[in-house]
Amino acid sequence: MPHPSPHDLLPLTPVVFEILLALGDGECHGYHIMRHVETRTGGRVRLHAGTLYRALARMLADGLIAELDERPDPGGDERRRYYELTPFGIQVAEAEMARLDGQLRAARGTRLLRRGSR
Amino acid sequence: MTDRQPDGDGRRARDAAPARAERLYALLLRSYPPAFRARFAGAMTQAFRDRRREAAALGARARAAFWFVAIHDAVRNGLAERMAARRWTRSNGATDHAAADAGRTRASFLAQDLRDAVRSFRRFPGVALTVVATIALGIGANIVILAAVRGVLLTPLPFEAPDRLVQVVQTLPGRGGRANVTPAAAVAWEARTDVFAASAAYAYTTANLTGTTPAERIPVALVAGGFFRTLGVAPLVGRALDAGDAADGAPPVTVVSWTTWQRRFGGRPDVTGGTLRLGATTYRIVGVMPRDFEPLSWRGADLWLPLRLDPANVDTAAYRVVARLADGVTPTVARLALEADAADRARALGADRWPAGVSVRPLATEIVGDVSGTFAALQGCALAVLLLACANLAHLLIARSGWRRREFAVRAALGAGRSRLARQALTEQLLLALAGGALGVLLAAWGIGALVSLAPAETPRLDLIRLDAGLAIWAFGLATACGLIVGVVPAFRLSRTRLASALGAGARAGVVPGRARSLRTVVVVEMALAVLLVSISGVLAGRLRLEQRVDVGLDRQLAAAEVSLPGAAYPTSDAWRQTFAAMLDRVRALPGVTAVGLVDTLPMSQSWSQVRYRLAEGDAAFDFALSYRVAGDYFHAAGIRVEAGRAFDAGRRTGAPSVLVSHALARRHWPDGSAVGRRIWLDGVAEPFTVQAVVGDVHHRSLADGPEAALYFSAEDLPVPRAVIVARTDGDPSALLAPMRVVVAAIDPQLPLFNTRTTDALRADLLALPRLLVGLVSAFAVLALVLGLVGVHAVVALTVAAERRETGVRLALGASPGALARGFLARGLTLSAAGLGVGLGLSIAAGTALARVMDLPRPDAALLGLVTVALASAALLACAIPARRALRTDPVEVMRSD
Repeated sequence: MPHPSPHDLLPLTPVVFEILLALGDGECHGYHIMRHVETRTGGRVRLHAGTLYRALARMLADGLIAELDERPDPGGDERRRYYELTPFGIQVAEAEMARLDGQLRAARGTRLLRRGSR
Repeated sequence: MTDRQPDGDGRRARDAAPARAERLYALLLRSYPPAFRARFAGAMTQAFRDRRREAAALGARARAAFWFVAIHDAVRNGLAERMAARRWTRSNGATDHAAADAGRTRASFLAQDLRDAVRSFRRFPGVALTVVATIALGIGANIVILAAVRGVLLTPLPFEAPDRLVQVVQTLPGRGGRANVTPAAAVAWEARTDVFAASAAYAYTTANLTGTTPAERIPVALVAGGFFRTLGVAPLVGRALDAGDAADGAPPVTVVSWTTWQRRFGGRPDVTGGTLRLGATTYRIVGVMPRDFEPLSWRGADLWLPLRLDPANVDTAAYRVVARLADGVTPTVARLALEADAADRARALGADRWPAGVSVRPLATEIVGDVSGTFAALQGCALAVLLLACANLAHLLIARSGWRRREFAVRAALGAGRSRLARQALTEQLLLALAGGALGVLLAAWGIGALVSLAPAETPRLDLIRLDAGLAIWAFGLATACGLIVGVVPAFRLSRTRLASALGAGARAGVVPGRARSLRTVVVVEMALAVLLVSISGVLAGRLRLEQRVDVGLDRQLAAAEVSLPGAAYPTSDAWRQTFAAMLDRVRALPGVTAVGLVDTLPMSQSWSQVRYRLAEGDAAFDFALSYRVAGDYFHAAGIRVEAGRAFDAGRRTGAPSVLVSHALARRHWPDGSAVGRRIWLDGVAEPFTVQAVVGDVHHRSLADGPEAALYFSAEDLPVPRAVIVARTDGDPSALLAPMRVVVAAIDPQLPLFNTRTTDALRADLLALPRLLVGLVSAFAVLALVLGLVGVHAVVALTVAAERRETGVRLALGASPGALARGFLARGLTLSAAGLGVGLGLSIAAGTALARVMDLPRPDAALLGLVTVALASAALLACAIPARRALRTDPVEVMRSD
């Protein structure tokens, strides 16, 4: 196993984390992931093919996601490649969420966030 | 849209566009490494197709934005992926490109590159040092000149909308001269609100500040009411002057400069209400101008005083006018409008009293004046040097890339990717360039200091020449650009090194033969530029030497000091005459003084006066001459020889109007030597002046030009309230100035001595600018020469190194070492000769151009010959050193190392 601990990969880049979130609801193909990320972030993160597939390639190599067979889109007639989270990918996503949560809690404990929310 | 139309043509057209788009995208995908492409191209094209459909539905702008993003996305990620793949291959020996970024961060790669770079500098310290020093010299020179150009030429004037400000003066059509402005004209222009939004006359002069001990001569400006309003500058404290301050019966008021406020009043806020005494008048201070308020003359001003203009005065042409152009009016329109008016007045009053011409020029041009030509020449030199520096560097790095081919070939063989190697080579050069830039900034700081201290004090805006963060950043940008430009070729070459060619049979540790041609071109260019700069500096130095040798016509044992008698205390010309006579007596009594005289304008000083004269009454033809009024024993004191006739008697009036003429004037009109006894008519004087004597020539305004024609009048006949006392001593002339000050103060403690000078100081002032120019151009020439010689040296060294093996073999086979060395020498000298030839051609062309622009003599054959011989000998030396190394080649060692 190339990555004994999910913590070795932290912190994740925003793009990788967004892709993990997108795949959290189940297997997706590339365009699906783009749309998902764009909708979820209200258009603030807009992936393009290059950025997306470089990140996917990296995540495949790190064992965060797995590549499924090509198959037709349910809604159309084009064949597409689907991706899904691996158990390791889920662990990494959880570790990242725990890390972010810890940071958020720490931030809430300071005047920084209280002042911001007032 | 035709989306729903089922007809065949529409469908085909619609299908063609996506197909074209996908072909283009397939092209873009080629920026990705092949392995990545094989795996993801299909999916990426699918995603691209989806995105494109989405954008197409949103209209033309969305489509354009889509393409922009798509191209950027593909190229950026493609290149990043390629680099990542290289790194991965190199560090792991595997081809799993995708994991590359996970393993190492960008920073750690940079650190690795830097470590590699430092290691390579240690192996080639000579090359690294040369690169740093070369860039430093080139950048340093450029920054110094840029600082000067920016400070003097480019800094906007500290006035409101300075590009709308113009200086207006009256001109004499046909005579080319620019005259000052009469009060009548200034008042007339003020009324032209259709042309000028505002205008005001002004004059920069000096005045005696008398409230202090000792009395001082200070620079002041007389300004008409609209002056500050025209410039659009508000005072820092209190109020500015306005038209009411010059009205009849208005109390005398003044506005002081920031420096005066700080120096004399300690910057106290209650300065307004304070007073200053000038001569016998007490002025109340009403305001202080801001620190950056720039004077319109190099003289500067400590005080501004109200100027009252008499609209009837058409004779006292003593002012200049600054004006703000009305909206939509250009300088040409303004000139034409004023000239139409002036033509009428000239007809009515006569062209002498109201000149028909008007000059309207941007104020910035007026203030900066004619230094722009000097700076343009310097800027050209600086760029030439930077060009040379770059040429040298490219050359050196190409040379080194030859030496390093083996190293890179081995690394490539061990798995280093091409981009990785190219990047490392570039990193090295960038590092060197930045080090050079840093050193260059230090050099520039030192050079700017030297420039400011060497420049003549009256150079406008000298205090604006300085180094700042902007220039430093520019220096680093320039250095980076140099490093990149000269580094790209060798980096590319190194990265393409193939193992077989670099290590294989017959490979040499030097340059490949094809590269030698570009090296030779670089050296020819270097030598040519060196020749050009050396010959230009030779021309400039030749002129300076000529000027230094010129006999100005004044005795060197001379001390001069100016005195101005204020009108209130010395109202009559008799008072002037008596006071100056008393001063001359006292100075004559000082120990060491051998002769004393008086003149109204001192030769080689910044001021002079000119008169127009005719040789016959009512003659249409006239000429100009410098005019002097002299008293006491001026000619003896100044060391001017009386060649014919008799000089004025000291302390006595001449009785009948008499004039002395200079040698140049006498030769102009009476070459047969019959000047004495001839008569000269001056404008506005009915009676002619009889020539009483011919005296020696004196240089007044320029040393390079011949002496000017001059007329000398007796200050006993035509007294002056302001004059220069000239004393000749048998001791040190500068030591005489202090006792002169004492004796003048004994006559009137309110009278300051100013503009105290010796002949040598006058001469030095006049030569300051040419000397600075020669110094700078020579510095550049030496720099260029050194660079060129290093270049020739490197080429020969490189050839020697490249052919080391061959040399060894030939020596082993019994070739004569001398013949081999001569072969190398000949190759270096052929290059130098080509460079010299091109350079000579350029020098002649540039010399012709310079002769036209800068009033310089053309480079003569002797100079060019000298330059050629000197450079050829230097080149010989530069080639001889590496050629000697070839002699010492040990065949056995060469064989063993291969």
